[in-house]
Amino acid sequence: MKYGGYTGKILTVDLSSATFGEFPVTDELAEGFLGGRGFAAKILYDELAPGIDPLGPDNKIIMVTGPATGTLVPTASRIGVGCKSPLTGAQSVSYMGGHFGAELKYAGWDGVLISGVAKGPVTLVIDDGAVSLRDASDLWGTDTRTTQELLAATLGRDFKFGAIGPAGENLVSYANFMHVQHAAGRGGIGAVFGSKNLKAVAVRGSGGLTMGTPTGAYIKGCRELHQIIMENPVRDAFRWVGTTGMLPHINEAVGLPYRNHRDDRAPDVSGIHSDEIAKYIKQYEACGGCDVICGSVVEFERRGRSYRSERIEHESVWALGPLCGVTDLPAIMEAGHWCDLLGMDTMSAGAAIAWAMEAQEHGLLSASDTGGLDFSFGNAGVLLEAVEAIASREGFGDVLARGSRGAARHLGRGEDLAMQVKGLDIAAYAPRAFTGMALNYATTSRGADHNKAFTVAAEFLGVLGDYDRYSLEGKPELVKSMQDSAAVIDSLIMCMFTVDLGISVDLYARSSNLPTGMELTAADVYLIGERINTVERLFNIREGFTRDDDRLPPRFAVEPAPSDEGGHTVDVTAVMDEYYAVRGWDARGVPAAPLLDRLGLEHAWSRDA
Amino acid sequence: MNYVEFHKDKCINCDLCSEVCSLHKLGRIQPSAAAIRVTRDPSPYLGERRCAVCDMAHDRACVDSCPEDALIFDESAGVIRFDAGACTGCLNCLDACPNVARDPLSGRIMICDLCDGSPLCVEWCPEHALTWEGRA
Repeated sequence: MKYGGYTGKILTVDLSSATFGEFPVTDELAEGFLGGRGFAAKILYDELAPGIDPLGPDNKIIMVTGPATGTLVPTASRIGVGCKSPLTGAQSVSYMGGHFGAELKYAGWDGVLISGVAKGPVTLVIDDGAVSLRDASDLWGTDTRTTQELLAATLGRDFKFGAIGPAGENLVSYANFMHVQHAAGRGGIGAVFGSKNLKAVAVRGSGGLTMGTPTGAYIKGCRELHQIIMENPVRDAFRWVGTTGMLPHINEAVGLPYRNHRDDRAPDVSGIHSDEIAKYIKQYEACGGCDVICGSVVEFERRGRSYRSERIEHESVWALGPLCGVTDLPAIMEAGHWCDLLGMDTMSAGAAIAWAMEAQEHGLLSASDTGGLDFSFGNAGVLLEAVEAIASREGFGDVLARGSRGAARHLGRGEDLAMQVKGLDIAAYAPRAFTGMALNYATTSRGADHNKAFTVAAEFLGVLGDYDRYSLEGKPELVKSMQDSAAVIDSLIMCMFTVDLGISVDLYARSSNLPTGMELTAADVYLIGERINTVERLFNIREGFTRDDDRLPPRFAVEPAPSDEGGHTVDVTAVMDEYYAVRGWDARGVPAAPLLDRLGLEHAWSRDA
Repeated sequence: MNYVEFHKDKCINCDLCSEVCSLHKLGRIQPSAAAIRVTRDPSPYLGERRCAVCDMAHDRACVDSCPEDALIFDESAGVIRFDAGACTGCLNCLDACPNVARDPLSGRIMICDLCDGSPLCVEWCPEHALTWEGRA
């Protein structure tokens, strides 16, 4: 291909026949979809037949990097892992940092498309161009850390590893795929690995990447991007406490969902303040290519057990903490640690527990339903018990392993208490306090994902404007533009934190152009992002999603948060027509012909219409 | 004599040093072939960082191991120079010193040359885990 930054090929792995192949990354694919999330959207749309069982043999896993992955572009070490989600039935791509994505590029692959089902547990080994499947019977049942350590001892310490844990093996619908303690976390990709008997992936790359810009200019251009981040004051906040610094401020603003969103403020978060978390930090860790350094290693003890683990993140400390009414930090960190090692999303795990807590309080769950587990709000002791039961699917764990909505549907009660959209649980920014987040949660293709348009930056942090966070005025345009630019960030693949660190849309264009040699403008970035969001929408429409799926749980339109003196509620249906119109979708939420024509997608759609 | 010094407790394992080194020296981003490479002990979880880069201490094991004159010590710059024309590809130097790397594509032996007095890895290190030290 004529563009730099890419390796130009995607590995194909058929687990059923244990055969391997490849297909090229064409100039047209790069121009239309850029990489990462764009490639995943296009490939999942083309490769997955409508209506397939997400945990059946016809689902596929796409692991995909972007043109900036493993280059000097700041934060671009990430990899996306996508499939049809067993949690939502929608298309879903999860992203993780670390060093796995870059290693895959150095091995010569822009991505890996995995199909079929292996006869028994296997590890996919990618050693540059040499690809093999290795018996993983001895690894089946081990946690994600043990699996990676055993593989390192066997294959070599210069490999990079990703693995599922028991939760993925047991098809927990929000199981994840872990590299070190980085998680491709949401949407249940780990269960799809489990359904395919694919326990782990090992990759080692010794090759090189050629850039589309001459070396001297390339180094200078990347250096300028790094300097912008290094000089941004927000970097210092991430640098010391990662994402956890935000929590007290969001809580003070009555924007932190508490007790399954019954309120948006916890009475006292001093025990889980970032200053408390920081006391456990032993060393700092970055992902590849990153000078933000939001990661760190902590050491802590609880009930006589000692842990050395990744410092917990904002979303995890919230979901296993205030969302469940808990502020016992070691208990939260311990539950988060075991979510990582057993291999499940901390956010959906916390949301499922919080759902059970509210359901129990409403008398919808009895002690016999829960097998004696006490799901009282604030009961820190139940966190780890529930996480272990979910991973093994023993007793009530089998119910919660279906996610909050799935649990409610399984029992036939309490669905209004499941705080989710399309099955994906709402993140740590309260819909009633940030209406842009509410509209984003309602409309993104994979459900209530905060990273698809982090409007808090524009509604609260003052980074991208100064919007009234309670009003829906102007939010359809804001949400659309942020969703479209986020799609490109996920395609390069850069870290979403760069939005808060002075990287504007112009600079995402530059971050694309430096490695590829393209000449994209900010307008091109928005256009590519719009195309990606539209193809994701088309996938979901084909799966039977309708306007009815673009809505929040009923609570938010009728119950103000008790701590909010303004008594705000949010009803995103009031602006849904406007949002669809801004998007070029018809009143049913279906992308209309003029939009498809403008995006060059009319052929793709007419094939299925 | 100057050298790049590694401070393991400051390193955050971002790999920017080996990315920029390989691009500058080879015109490709290829950390495995860089003249500086950070590795780490996997145990305990995310254990100690190590850095492979010529420390210029110069027992010159690589030079001594070379049966030809492909590796020679440049006294004026205080660094080892590689002459591709003289290299037979015996790879003795790789066995002699863990700080030596090889670009598999060109066969070039990679040893830190201090970027002619302005090491890019030092400039790019966000945490000053690499510093530019003088040694008497």
